[in-house]
Amino acid sequence: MHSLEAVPQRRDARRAPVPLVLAVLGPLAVVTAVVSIGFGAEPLPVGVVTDALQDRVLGRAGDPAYDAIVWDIRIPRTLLALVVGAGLAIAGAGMQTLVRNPLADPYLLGVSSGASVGATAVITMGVFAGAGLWALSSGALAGALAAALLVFGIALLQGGLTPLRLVLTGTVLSSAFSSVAAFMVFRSAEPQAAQAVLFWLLGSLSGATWGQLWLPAVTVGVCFAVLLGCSGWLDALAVGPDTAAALGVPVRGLRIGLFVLLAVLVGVLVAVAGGIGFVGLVLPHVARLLVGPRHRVSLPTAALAGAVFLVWVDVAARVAVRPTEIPLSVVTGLVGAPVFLFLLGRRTYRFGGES
Amino acid sequence: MSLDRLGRLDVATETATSGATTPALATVGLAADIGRRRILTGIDLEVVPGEVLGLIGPNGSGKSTLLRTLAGVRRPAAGHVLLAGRRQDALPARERARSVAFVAQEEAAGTDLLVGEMVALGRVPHRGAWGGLDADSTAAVRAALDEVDLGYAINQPLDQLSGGERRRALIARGLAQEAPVLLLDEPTNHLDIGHQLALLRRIRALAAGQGRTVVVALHDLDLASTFCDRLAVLHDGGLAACGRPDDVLTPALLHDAFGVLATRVTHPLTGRTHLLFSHDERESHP
Repeated sequence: MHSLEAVPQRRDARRAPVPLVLAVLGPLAVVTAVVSIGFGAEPLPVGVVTDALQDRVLGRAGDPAYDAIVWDIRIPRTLLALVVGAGLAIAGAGMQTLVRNPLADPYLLGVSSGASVGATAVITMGVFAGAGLWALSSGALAGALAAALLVFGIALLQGGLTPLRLVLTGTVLSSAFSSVAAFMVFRSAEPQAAQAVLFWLLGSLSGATWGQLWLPAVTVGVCFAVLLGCSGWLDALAVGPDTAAALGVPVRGLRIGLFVLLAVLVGVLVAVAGGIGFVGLVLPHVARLLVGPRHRVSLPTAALAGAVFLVWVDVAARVAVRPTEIPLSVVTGLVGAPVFLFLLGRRTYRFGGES
Repeated sequence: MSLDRLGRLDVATETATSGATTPALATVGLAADIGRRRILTGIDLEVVPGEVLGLIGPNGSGKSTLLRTLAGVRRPAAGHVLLAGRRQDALPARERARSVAFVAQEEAAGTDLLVGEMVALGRVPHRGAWGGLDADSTAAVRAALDEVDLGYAINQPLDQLSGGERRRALIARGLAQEAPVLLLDEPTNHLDIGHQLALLRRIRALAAGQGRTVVVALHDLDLASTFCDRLAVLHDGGLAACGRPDDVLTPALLHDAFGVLATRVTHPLTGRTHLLFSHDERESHP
C-alpha cells in the first residue's frame, strides 16, 4: 500500500499532556479553595484564612470570629462548590456520551425542571414543611427523581433508551414540568414566591453547611468512580452503539445504568444547589479539547476543571454586587460562553458533528 | 498482480482438503428481521478457518443484516450462529467479542479520537469495562496498525485521515480484537480501484498468513470473485448460491439476482476469467 500512496505529512494531534493537565489542575483546586475562602461579604486576607485553618488543624484557640466565618460559613460553601462543580462536569460528560449529542447538559432528562416543580411546591405551598431546613432540598430531590423515573419509563415503553428518544422525551417533559412549576407560582398568594423560585432555579450555594455536604460529596465520589470504572465501555458507546455491541459492551444495560446513575447524581446536585447552568454543558467540552475524548482522561480533567470553575463562579457571585448575591447561572453564562467560544475557535473539534 | 501473490489458489485447495475441521463460523437455519419484516430466512453457512467468504447480493438483499447478526450486534429471528462450534448467543458478550470482530460500513464519522485510540477500542473485550491499555494491548495496537501499514498515523486524529486510511484504521481495530473471525461490511466502499485491490490483497494475506477467517460483503463482483475463496449470494431473502466463485457466478444466477446479462471473458494477459456486464433490455428495473 506504500507504493500507492506516499505517507502523508500530517501533524500529530495537538493535545495537552494528561499528567501536566492534572498536575496543574489538582494543586490549582487546592489553592483556589483556600484563596476563595477570603472572599465574601467580609473580605479576609489570605493570611487570616490560613491562620484560621492552622489553628483548627493544630487544635489552637484562634480568633473566634474569624474561626466562625472561615470554618462554619466559608469552608462548607467552598467545598460544596468544589463538589457540585465536579459533579456537574462529570454528569454533563456522561450525558453527552449517553445521548451522543454535544448540546446535552446534565438537566436534559427533565431532572432539573422536575426538581423545580418539587422546589416550587415547597416554596409556594409549604409541602415537606416537616423536613425543616431540608424541605427545599427534599422537595427538589423528590421532584427530580420522579421526573427522571417518568422520562425513563416513557422512553423505555416506547422502544428503548436510544439517544434521540431520550433527548426528545426529556426535552418535552422538561417543558411540561416547567409549565407546572410556572402554574404553581402564578397561583401562589405569596408575592415573594416568584422571586424565591427564580433565585433557586438559577442556582445558589448560599447557606451551605457541613451537614448537607456529605450527601453530594458521597454521590459525586461514587458516580465518578463508577464512570471511570467503565470508561472503556463509555469510549466504545461514544463511537456508536453498534461498534460498542461488536466490542462486547452490553449496550442496553450500560445505557440503563448510565441513566439511573446520572438521574441520581443530577437529582442530588440540583437538590443542594439548584439549577446551575453551563458548567455541565461546557466543562466536558473543555476537558475534551484539552486532553482528548477518552473518558479515562477527560472525566478527571472535567471534574477538576469544573470544581475550580464553580468555586470562582461562586466567588464572583458573592462579591459582584456586595452585599447581595447574584445567582450562579448568571455568572456561569456570562463567563462561560466567551471562554468556551475562544477555546472552540482555536482548535479542530468534532464531537460527532461535521466541522 | 499474479495469482501466487494473491495466494488464492493455495488456500482454496487447502480448504477443500480440510473438510474435517470444525467450521470457524457456521449458521444453522438463520433468519433475521428488521422491524416486523423478515429480511433473511434459512441461511445455512459454514466457513472454515483461514477461508475468505465473500457475501454478494443486490442492494437490500440483507448483506449488512447478515453480518450484524453474525457479529451478535442483532439477534437472529430464528436459528443460531456457531463460533468454532459454540453457540454465539450462549457466549457472554465479552467472550463473543473476543471470538468475532466486526467492522461496519459507515462508522466513526466525526470522532475526535486519535487513530491509536480508535484501534485501542479493539482491546475493550480483552480488558473489560475499564478498558485501559496494558503492555500487551499496546503491542496489539501497534501490530494491528503495522498490519495495515498505518503505524505512522498512530497519533494523528482519525478525522483527518483520507478515506482509504480511515478504512484501514477501522480494520486495524478489528485486528486488534485478535478474534479468529473477522467480519467486514463493504471495506472497499469509497476507495479508488488501486486502493480496493490493495486492501483486498491485504485481507487475503491476513487469512492466508494468520489463519483468520474472513467474511466480507462486497459490491464489486469481479473483485469478489478474484479475492474470495467462496462466494455466498444473497437474493430474495435467502441464500441463492454458495460455492467457488467460478461455480457461483453463472450468467443465469447473475441474471436472476442482479437482473443483468453477464459474459465471461478471459483476461488476455493473466488468463483469469472476468465478467462483463450489460443491461438486460427486457428487464423493467434499471
